[in-house]
This record gives sequence, C-alpha cells and structure tokens, in this order.
Amino acid sequence: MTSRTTHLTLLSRVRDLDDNHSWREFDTRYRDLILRFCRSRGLQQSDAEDVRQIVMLNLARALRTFEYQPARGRFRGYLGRVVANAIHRHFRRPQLEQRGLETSVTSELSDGDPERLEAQWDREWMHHHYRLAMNTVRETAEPRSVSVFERLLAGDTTDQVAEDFSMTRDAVHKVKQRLRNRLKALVQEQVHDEVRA
Amino acid sequence: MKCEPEGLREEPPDPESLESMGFGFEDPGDAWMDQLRGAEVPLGLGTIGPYELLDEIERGGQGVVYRARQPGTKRLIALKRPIAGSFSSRSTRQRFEREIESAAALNHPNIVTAYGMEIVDGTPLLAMEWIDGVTLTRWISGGSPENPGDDPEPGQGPCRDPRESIEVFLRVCDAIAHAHSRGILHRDLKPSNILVADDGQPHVLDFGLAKRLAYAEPDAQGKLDLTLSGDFLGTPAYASPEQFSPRQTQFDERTDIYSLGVILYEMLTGLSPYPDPSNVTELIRAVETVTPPRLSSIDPRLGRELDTIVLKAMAKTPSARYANVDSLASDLRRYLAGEPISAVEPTTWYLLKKVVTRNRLAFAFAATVVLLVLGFGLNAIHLTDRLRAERDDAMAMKNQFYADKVNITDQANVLERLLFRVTDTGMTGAKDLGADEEREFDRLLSGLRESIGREKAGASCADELLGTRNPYFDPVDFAANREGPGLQGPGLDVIGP
Repeated sequence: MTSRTTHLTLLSRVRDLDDNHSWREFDTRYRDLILRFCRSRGLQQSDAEDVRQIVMLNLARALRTFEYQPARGRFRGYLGRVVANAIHRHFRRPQLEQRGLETSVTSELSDGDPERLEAQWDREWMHHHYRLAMNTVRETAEPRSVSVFERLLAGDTTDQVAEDFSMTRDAVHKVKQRLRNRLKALVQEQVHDEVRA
Repeated sequence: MKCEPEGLREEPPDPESLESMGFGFEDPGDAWMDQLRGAEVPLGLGTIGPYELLDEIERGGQGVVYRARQPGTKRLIALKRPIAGSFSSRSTRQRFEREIESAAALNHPNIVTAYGMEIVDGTPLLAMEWIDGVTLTRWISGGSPENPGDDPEPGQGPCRDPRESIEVFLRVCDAIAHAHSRGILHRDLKPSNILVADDGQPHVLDFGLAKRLAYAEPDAQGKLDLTLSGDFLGTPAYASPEQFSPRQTQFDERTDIYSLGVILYEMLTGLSPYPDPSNVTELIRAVETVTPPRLSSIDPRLGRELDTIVLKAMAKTPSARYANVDSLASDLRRYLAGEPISAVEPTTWYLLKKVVTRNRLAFAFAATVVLLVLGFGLNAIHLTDRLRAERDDAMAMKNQFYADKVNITDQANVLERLLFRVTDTGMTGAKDLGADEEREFDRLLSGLRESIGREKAGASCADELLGTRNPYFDPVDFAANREGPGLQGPGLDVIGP
C-alpha cells in the first residue's frame, strides 16, 4: 500500500517543477528503462545519455499537464512516444549530422519500423517492471527464499536446489510459487499506479 | 437485437490486465521466469568513442564517471562525461579544458593525473588516471576499496582515529600546496573530490573549477600572487563565505584553506560544521554568520588545539585564516609532534605544558627520580629520629645497668660480711642468726636476686638495641662492661638458687 501511495505521489509530484527530490526519484526510476531502450536500438551509451536528457526535459514540460485519458493511451505508450521522438530529434541535430554517419544508419536508429519499435518498447517496459518488482522482492522477502529462487533463476533444477538447501522438492516448488505470486502482485501494483497517474 | 445466453458471451480482454500486456505470469511452463531472466541481463555499456566502458562509477549533478579501458594500451582509466553530454554548454567544455590545463601544470603523487580531453560525437570526454579507492566521504566512515560501505548517515560519528585522519589530511594539504605553488587554486575542494586508495594515499581530483592564473608569476621575493576575482563556483557546503559574496571578491589560497578546514572538521567529527547542509539558503546564512561548534564539544579527545587549528582555517574573513596551506600543515604537524602550535598565544603556562607533553617520558622519569630521592630523604630523617630515640633508650638502660651493678656489688659486700660473721661465730646456717639478722639476710638475698634478674634482662635488651641494631653503638664496649667482675664473682655462685 505504501508503495502504491508513494508511486502515485511521485507521478503527481513531478508536475511541480520545483520539486527536485521527486524529479531525482523519477529520473532514477525511469533512467534505466530509457537507456536500455536506446541501447537496444543500437545507440551508443553517450547518445543514450543525450536522449535521456531530452526525454527528461520534455517530460518536465509535458507532465505538468499530463492527464490519463484512455483514448490517448497509457503512460507506457506516452513515455514510449516521448523517447522515440527524442531519439528522432537527437539524430537530426546539426552537430550530429557532422559525424558523417550514413543517413540510412541514423534513419534506422531514430525511426525504423513503427511496429517493431513499439514491440521493442513494450518488451523493455515489461522488463523494467520485472526488474523493479524483483528488486523489491530481494529487499523484502525472506533471505532463504530469495536464495532458493535465485538458484532457480540461474537455471538450477528443482532437485539440485532441494538437495543443496536440504528441502523437499515440494518445498522448493512452494517457494517458487510464492515468489511468483509476490512478483505478480508487485508488477500489478506498479502498472496500476502508472495507469492511475 | 440478438440475445446471447449468459455465460456463453466471451468477455473482451481487459486491456489493463498483465496478461494482455504480455507479462506471461499465467502462461504455461515458466514463461514468466524467462521474462525475468531477460529483464535482468546486465546492460552492456558498450563504448564511447574509442573507449570501452566497463562500469558506471558515479553519477552526479555534473557528470557521469565510468571505469573504462583505453584502446591500444588497454590501460584502465576513469572517463568523465558531462551529464549534459552533447548538450553541454560552453562553460562545461571550458571546465573540462581548464581541468586539462591544470593537470598539465601539476605533477604530484596525491593529485589524480588527467591524461587528456577530447570531443567525441560532440561530447567532451575527460580521461583520467584510474584510482582504485573510495571517496573521502566513505573513507571517513571506515570504507575501503574492498569494502566501500554505504555513505555515512548524517550525525554518524567517524570511525577513524584522529591521528590517522590528520595524517591523510596532511597529504591532501601537500597536494594543494603543490597546486598553489604552481599558481593553481582548486576552488571546489570537498570529500567527494578526494579518493583514498587502499594504501591510505589520498588523491585529489576534479580541478575542473581550478583557475590557472596567467599572471601568477613569482614576485621579487619569489612568492606567487594567486589573487583572482570571479563569480560563485563550487559546492555550497564547502565554499568559503567570500565565494557567496555578491561583490566581486578577491579569491586567493585562503579560499581553498577554508574548504580544507571544513573537510578536516568532517574528517575529525564525522559531522558537517553547519546544520542541514541540504538547505542551501540556510547553509549560506550559516556559512556567513554562524561559528561552528567546537570539535572538542563533539569529541573531547580532539582537544582545544584542534579546535583552534580547524576554526582558524574556517575563519569567516580570509585575513583571520592561515596565510597559506603550509602554515596550516605545519601547525597540524606540530600538534602531532606535541609542539606548541602557532595559532595559540604562546603563554608561559602553554609553552611549559607543551614541553612537558612533548617530553612526557623524560618528565615521567625525572619525576620518578625526584619522588624517589624525596622518599629516601624523608625516610632517612624518620629513621634517624627513631635511631636517636632508641640510642637514648639504650643509654638510659645502660646507666640503669651500671647503677644496678653498683647496687649488686654493695649488696654482695654486705652479704659477704654477713657470711664471714656467721663463719666467725661458728654458726652453721642462717637459722642461727638473730631475728633481725635473719630478716636483713633475707632482704639482702631477695634484693640481690631481683637485681641480678634485672641485670640479666637489661643486658639482653641493651644487647639487642645497641649491639645489633644501632650502628652508632660500639658493641665491644658494652660487652666489656657486661663482663665485669661483680657478676662473675664466686660469692654469687654460692648464693644461687
């Protein structure tokens, strides 16, 4: 409940440009998503950082008036469009055109197939929520359960993990199911917060 | 309208459900775990220009620092990229250029070497020496390269011994003194701009705000004029009052000395000298008007001299501070050596105290010797008094002994006469004496026995007192007296019990 309230407050608070703390929190939460998406599009780390900079500047302006309107899509799609536009604008900057990159290369980086672009964004956005939820699980779940789950995540079989932790197969399976349910609840909560923002 | 039976109508998918978004929690098998694995694949940093990025080390308000590998040499470097990247303002680029210019003029083991600056895809990059260390902020709270730890909480005391902190700080002073000697002011000294390597050596970095003075030529006395004027630059919590001044203020070495004072304050106490350094308005007011709490009020181990040194370095007006970094360092070295520091008025009591403290061992030895001599002296006086009293007692006993001996002799003479009389009158024993003569005989005999007993006891006691314990008494004399004929005469043997 606390998480939901905090997150709701975060997305509401970033509308206040003077609230630096909220902006830092927002930047920390979405920086990784934006950088990963840019890198998955083939941008260098340096370009990805530039795009992140443009995104934050644009969001600072736009979020002041942002309201959730189902007809216009979710925050997920909204943020995706802002990032795609930022990439597009980044490669249209005069000083970058002087790099001598092939026009086709910059065009592919900044535009590309719209459907593919959207699928790529959706995948990164899902991964982003998985990471956030898993971080929360690591911080809050019982350490032994987390250790068991980390082994399964690393690819070890249920039998191996059961033997190493002196547990029954059934007990290992229950740990996995419990953490799955917890992850699902956390992701649901995170997504719900974005929709309600 | 066609009516469909309840329960047969297919529910439209909820566009906001996780399944419709593709999270896969309900998919057969462990699709959700595959998603999670994919999500946790580390983000490869790739390259920036020719540099291979290995880790992101630090992300601050001004820039991002990466651990990177230099092409060709494969040397590890710290690569700094301004946060604004290719949007960097002209001033940011100038800052990088200044850092390179400063670095070119500096060659000191406690200053991070800057290798060079280049523009890659419109973004200025700064390549610096890689130091495997922790920031001074973390070092203060006990962090090390192996165990960096978390940033210290406000109010958390330092874990370091004050002497260890001062010794590290002195190396920072050496580095800054070197920069000043080359005509360079740092202007942004703070713990996060100082890395401490695992060998305990500090390395000052970020000379980005440093100012190299074109006119910093030695004067006739060989001194450099480091004065310059400028707008506020730096970090508020470590900036000097004159850096906040709206007037065009003259900066010189003492601006860096103020920042060094704040750093030393934090190193020794683990606390910021001013409350709530995150509130910039309040902080500026405090820097300009508030005298920080004395270090000794936070940790009594630190003492008044460190109060004086640190608060002198942090004086509000530059003229009240140390004139140069060497003076500050010299006072700290004197403090460590137990010598009088220059920042304290040299009163006789203070100087005496310092001499005693500095030569603690010698003074402790001397004090022990004095106490021992005094002890022996007093003991000797006491012993002399006691011996004198014992000698007097012995002399009195000796006199009594002679008196008794005379008395015994007299009594023996009387007894002898009585015996002769008995013999002369043909009496065979004391029973033939008259009543008066018999009483006299008994009295004499009783007195003689008493005197002999006292004489024996007195001789024994005098022997003990004078013969063996009194060095001033001649035992030979006493023995000669004791062997007097009156005690050994044949008459006495006759009248023995």
